[in-house]
Amino acid sequence: MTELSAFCARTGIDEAAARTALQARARDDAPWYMQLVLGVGAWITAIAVLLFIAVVMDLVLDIDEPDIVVAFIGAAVFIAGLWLLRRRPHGAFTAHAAVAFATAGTLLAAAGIGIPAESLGWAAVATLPFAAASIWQQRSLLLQFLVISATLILVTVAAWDRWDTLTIELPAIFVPFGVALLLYPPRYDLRPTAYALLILPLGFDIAASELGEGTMLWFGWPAQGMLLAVFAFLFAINWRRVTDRQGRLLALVAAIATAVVTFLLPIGASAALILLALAYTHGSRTLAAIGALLEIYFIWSFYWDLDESLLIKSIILMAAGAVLLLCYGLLVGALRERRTS
Amino acid sequence: MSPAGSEVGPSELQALRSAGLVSARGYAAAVDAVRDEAFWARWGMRALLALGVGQFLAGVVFFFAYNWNDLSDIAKFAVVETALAIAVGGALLVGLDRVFGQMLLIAASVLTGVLLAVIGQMYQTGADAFELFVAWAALILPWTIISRHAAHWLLWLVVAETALVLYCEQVLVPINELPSELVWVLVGATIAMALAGRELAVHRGVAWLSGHWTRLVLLFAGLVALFAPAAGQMIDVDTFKVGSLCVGAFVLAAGAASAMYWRARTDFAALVIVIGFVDVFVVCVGYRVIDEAIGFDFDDVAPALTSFGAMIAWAIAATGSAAVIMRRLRGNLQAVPS
Repeated sequence: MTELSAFCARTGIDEAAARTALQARARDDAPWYMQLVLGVGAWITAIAVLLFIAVVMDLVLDIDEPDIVVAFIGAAVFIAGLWLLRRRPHGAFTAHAAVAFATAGTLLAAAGIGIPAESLGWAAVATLPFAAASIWQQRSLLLQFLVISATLILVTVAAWDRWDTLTIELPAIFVPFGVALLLYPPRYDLRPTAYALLILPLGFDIAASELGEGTMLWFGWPAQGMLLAVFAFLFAINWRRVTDRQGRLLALVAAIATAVVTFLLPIGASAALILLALAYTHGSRTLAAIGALLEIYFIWSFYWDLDESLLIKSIILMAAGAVLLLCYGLLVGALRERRTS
Repeated sequence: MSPAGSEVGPSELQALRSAGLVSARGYAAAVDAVRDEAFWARWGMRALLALGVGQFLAGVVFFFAYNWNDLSDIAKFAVVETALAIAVGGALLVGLDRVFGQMLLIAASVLTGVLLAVIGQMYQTGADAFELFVAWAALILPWTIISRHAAHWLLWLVVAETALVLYCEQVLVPINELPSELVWVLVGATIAMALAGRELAVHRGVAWLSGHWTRLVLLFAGLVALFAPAAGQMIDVDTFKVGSLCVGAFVLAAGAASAMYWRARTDFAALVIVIGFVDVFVVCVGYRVIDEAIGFDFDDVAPALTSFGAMIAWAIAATGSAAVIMRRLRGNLQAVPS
């Protein structure tokens, strides 16, 4: 934490205006672990809502399968959720009910469009207006995360279904957008969208690997190239933090080493490395914890990767580890030298 | 932001961005102004070391896994024992007051388990698997005590708990000395005892155990172990005695943890963990009550609509109440130094 006055003096922001903005900000600024508890509760309630509507459809309206009527019901439920959120954004019960209803409404609309068309793609398309509305509302970050997550899951499953294969390179497509949204945020608060773009695709990678049917496009080269470009971008941002010549030289060596490692490792592990680099750049402990856990998982799961033999995998990991340790040694030596001088 | 509104951290920057006081291009500079430079420099160095060591060791393990079947029995023992000797020797050489020395001793503890597994593979005696874990926990206990490192204790606890689960499942449950539902209650109870030990030790000034993460990991693990049987029994109770034991243990643990982290050792994050589990448990209770009273019958309109409607209302009430409690605690605890 930095003193507001010192922060304003350093960045040239009017202190009174900053104080007003901070006091007027939405109250939905709970820490992530609190949002997680509320998110789990919202999912449970949303499932109960979906079951209730399924009963209404089946026993009252005599609808066997979701259709356009169900899509309209979903839209109505979503709008009712947003209305409730707008009317009473700070009420704990109403806010929770609103988030659960709006999430359930999104899923109903997707089912109402996707099932009659027998198309996951149309189901994904149907969620797009709801995703846009969840961003526009700005009252609940949790609702934004849940609806965007639902959209991303449907888009991914639709792509897998369309290509008839579980491609595991999706992190590479989503990661640059997530990074851009966190580092160059628009005035609308899109942090939940950025987190969904950064973390969910890695979950898809894990799911595809667990199902044992994950495949890579062109041996994963385009994806690795894109992740390298993102890493280079993050490095460029951090470059200006280092001012002296020796420091810059060391940073360059560390960056080249990490880039080599990023290129050598499987895509999930490379994407987790990007999360760690982003955590460092953005000063986010949440991203650091998630990135570290994912990195451990992907290196551990590399053992079962059938694309390479154990010998090749052991050489890759030993080479990557040795390069990073060399960098660590160089940095420690330079820091010691600087302290001595 | 601080209660007085005089401080700003990374999470406050979006409010300034939304108000138009920080531009998209100037956002990175604003992050620099509030980012804890010393912390992230330290974190960066440790991350580099951890990634390097982790990947190199994983590569070594993969290499031996590749050649494992081709190695003679003597070579297999030689490989593991040499690594063990290097780890222990390195720890003694570097010293246990340094992180690197402590890491080497943790590696030695892991290698002890590997050595026991190799012995089990070579000389198959038909012994139960729990004996390996008991021997492992006993052998590494002295190193764990002298290393004075929280991660080492966590490793020891994982090994000891695995031994306990295997002993229960391979010995006590088959001879009907223990109902299978109570195995995880026992695990939860022992983790709760470890947490209580941790709190006592920290209270008495044991600094190396005072990391906040140690409390949160033990609390979360203990509540997971106690929640699973309690929720399972609540949704589908088999016998009253076992059910009441499972539910009673969870309620007791949640109550004790709430009292502890609300009053004695004020900790909002720990309270959120407790509230999260209690919230989901209360939803399970509601499911049971509604199922007993009305029943989730898909064939009849009135009971179906009533039961699912009641479930929605119950879920909203449970999570809404959790939200109210968390907000109030957050407001109250901000004024209390933790």
